[in-house]
Amino acid sequence: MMKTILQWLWRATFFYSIHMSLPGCLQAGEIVVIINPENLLANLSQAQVSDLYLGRTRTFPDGNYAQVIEQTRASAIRQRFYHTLNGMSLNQVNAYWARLAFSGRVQPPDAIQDDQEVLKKVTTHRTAIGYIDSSQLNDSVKEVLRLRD
Amino acid sequence: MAALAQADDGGRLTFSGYGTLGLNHDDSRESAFTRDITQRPKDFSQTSNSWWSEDAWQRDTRLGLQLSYQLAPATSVTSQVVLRDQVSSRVNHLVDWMYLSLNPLPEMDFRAGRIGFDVFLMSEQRNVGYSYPWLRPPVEFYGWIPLHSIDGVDLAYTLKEGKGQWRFKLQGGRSPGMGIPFDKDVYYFESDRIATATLTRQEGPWLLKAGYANLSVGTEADPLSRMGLFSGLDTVAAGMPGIPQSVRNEAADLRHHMTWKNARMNYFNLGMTYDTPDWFVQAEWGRVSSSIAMAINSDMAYLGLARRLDDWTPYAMVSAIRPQGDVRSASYYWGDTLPAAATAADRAMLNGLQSGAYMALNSTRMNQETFTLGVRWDLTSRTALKWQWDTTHVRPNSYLLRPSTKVNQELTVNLLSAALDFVF
Repeated sequence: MMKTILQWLWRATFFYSIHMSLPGCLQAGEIVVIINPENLLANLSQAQVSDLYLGRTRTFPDGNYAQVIEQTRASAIRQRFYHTLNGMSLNQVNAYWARLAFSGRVQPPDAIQDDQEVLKKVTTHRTAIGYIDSSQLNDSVKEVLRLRD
Repeated sequence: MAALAQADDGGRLTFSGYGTLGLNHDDSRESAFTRDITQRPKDFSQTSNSWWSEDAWQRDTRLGLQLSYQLAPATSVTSQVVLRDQVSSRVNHLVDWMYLSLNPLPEMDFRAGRIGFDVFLMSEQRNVGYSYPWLRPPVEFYGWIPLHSIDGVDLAYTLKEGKGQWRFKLQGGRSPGMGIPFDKDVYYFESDRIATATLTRQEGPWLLKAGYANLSVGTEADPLSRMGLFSGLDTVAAGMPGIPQSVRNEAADLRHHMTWKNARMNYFNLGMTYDTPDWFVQAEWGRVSSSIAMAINSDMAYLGLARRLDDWTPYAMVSAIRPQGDVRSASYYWGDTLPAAATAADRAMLNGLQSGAYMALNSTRMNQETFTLGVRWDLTSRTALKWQWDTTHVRPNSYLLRPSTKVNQELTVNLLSAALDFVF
């Protein structure tokens, strides 16, 4: 009996400590959606960002054209981005875009190498929107949405 | 997908493409599998001992190449060439799209040039295997639609409403059509006037689409003419010595119902897609009716279910097509109505013309259903492998989708297929 209680306590403590350390882990793993600081928008909802990245709208909510910046097709951050944004898997997103791109509806967004390249592009293009790991965030861009698991 | 050249703001040239490498094995010796009616069936009258027929690699294999140039955020030109197994040898039938696209308003799309015929859920993605779970669009639904492209214009308007959006689209123009094998000959089907309207609702994982198309056939079925059917029926209808009025009327009626030029066709369609990380469900119902009996008069439907399990997507589908009218047949022999003095050769010639005309009239009937099981395996972020088993039940007097030597009998055929789909 005592052994069982101890085991239970040990497990509870173990899981508690894991759980307590999770926010820290997640902090590093958060994704931020960024725009150029000159863009007047203050924030975007998950649905608005999802519409932009699925080619369902071409513009920001204020009606200005958006230049959507994608990360590399098979990258881990792209997988996390869609998973936290709208629950889609990369296989699903890729098949979805194949339909849109080859039916001539919309051309897929530009894909860029990594967070640094995305930062550079968003910093230099007023209409750009991109996403990066929150650890890479700096003052050259404006955060409009933070995605957590 | 490769961006070949890019200016800082504006000009962007993109070259991309897709393709499928497919392989089929069909267990039927007395019929032939084709993916759609633009493909010439293999010569199934020749028995072969080989497990693979000579066309095993051809049916699903295809390659699409797309070049797109973005001139400005709201202006682009796109062209797509598709190499696939089809009977047409016209270069015109290789180019699926070539158009200028403009967005005068962010919510408005205008295209002019050669655009995709867009009425059904999968109209514009039929060739892009990578974009759907199944190995090919259901043959009963998509196998016979004789249109891929429209030379004309379309205008789409998107309206955000609630958590989703409405999209209303109109298309108008003419269609380059396609080549359709007719025995050893080819009928180049074209439309000289086509108009479509679609209404789509997209909300979360749901997509609902209603479509309508009306077209006028622009080309005559020359193979029927070359067979002598038109001139024979015209002669009988105009009146030959001793031929009763009832036969003349019947000949005129048959001639009318196989006169494709200026025939009218109407498509009506309802479709839905449910697309989540776990499930992909797609269903569609369509009806087509025509002003002549030989053009298509059918109801068709399918339901496909796919379960996404990481990189594996097992799926099942049922699809069916039914003709609207009965099989047409002669109630008496024309030869028997000739006066007693007529020669046996005259009677035989008249009977031959009559049976040939009925055979031609019924040759576009489709009455069959298919049950499909398969699995898709996403191998990389650009390739997917698929294996599929189809079992098709062909009912008597169903000709167009499954040409067979036993046209008046039921037929059950099994088809095993494998395909590698890719995009680049």
